[in-house]
Amino acid sequence: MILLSILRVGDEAYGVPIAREMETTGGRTVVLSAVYTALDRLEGNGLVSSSMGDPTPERGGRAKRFFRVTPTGLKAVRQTRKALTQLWAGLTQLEGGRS
Amino acid sequence: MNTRHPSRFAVTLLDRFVADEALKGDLVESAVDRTVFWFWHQVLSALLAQTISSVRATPRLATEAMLVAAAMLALIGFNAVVVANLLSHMLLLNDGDWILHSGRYASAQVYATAPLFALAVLSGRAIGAIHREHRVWAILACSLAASTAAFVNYYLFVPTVPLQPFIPSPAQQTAVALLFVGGLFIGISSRSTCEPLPSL
Repeated sequence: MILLSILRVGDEAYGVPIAREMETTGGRTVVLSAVYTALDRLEGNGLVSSSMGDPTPERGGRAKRFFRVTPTGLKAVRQTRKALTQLWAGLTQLEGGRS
Repeated sequence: MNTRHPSRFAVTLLDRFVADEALKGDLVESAVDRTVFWFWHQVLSALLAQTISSVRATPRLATEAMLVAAAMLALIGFNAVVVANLLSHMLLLNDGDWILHSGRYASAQVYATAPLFALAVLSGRAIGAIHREHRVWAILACSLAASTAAFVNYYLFVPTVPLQPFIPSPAQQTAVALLFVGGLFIGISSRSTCEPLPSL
């Protein structure tokens, strides 16, 4: 979900818009520190890379940390989509229901 | 209820205990159009996450820190209760009749915990200002503040002092002392210039 959010936000993907994207699509409040914990783990696994921006006054002089999905991360996203699509296929219990 | 400016105390907690500058910046930036509840929820979650990752990164250091803090909490809390009781008995021996009328606000003790804790944090911040250069004085100030708080608690909230054992209501008094000492520690930590835990 975090990888997809980074991809949807694009070049301006730092903590705030990533969390907002997850809240909008997921429909629930996101804890920013949990997002960062997951991002650190993804970066450790080589699925995302990060770079520091310039400090800005509205952030109390603190810099933004921008995230990008690496080619390895893109590959992982595609594999996950393929696996999920296969899992969804043929589930008759979920057909015709309201949700 | 929205907040234009995040709580200074919350930001101080972040600056003091959270190492990730980008996370702190994100929280401050988001506070502009979020509720106070949301901001505090995020701050407390960040503190918890930082604590967990610090313990995982330096388990020995974290264990030592927790043991020392627990020992200090217990020692200062015990000291405060004993000193307060000794003081009250000395006053009784020296015609301190006023202590006989102690505990007239016993029913209001639960309402006094919040201001007592706030007072402890403020006292801790004052002590934190001298903590690095004058550590002995800081420890003595901690003991004095905790003992005074315990004595005031004893006089205001513990009824019929002379008719009770040497340390009446020990659990209640110890809880109050620990609450006060915990507030002192938080106040000192928010201002002390001690070396922080290593960044992760």
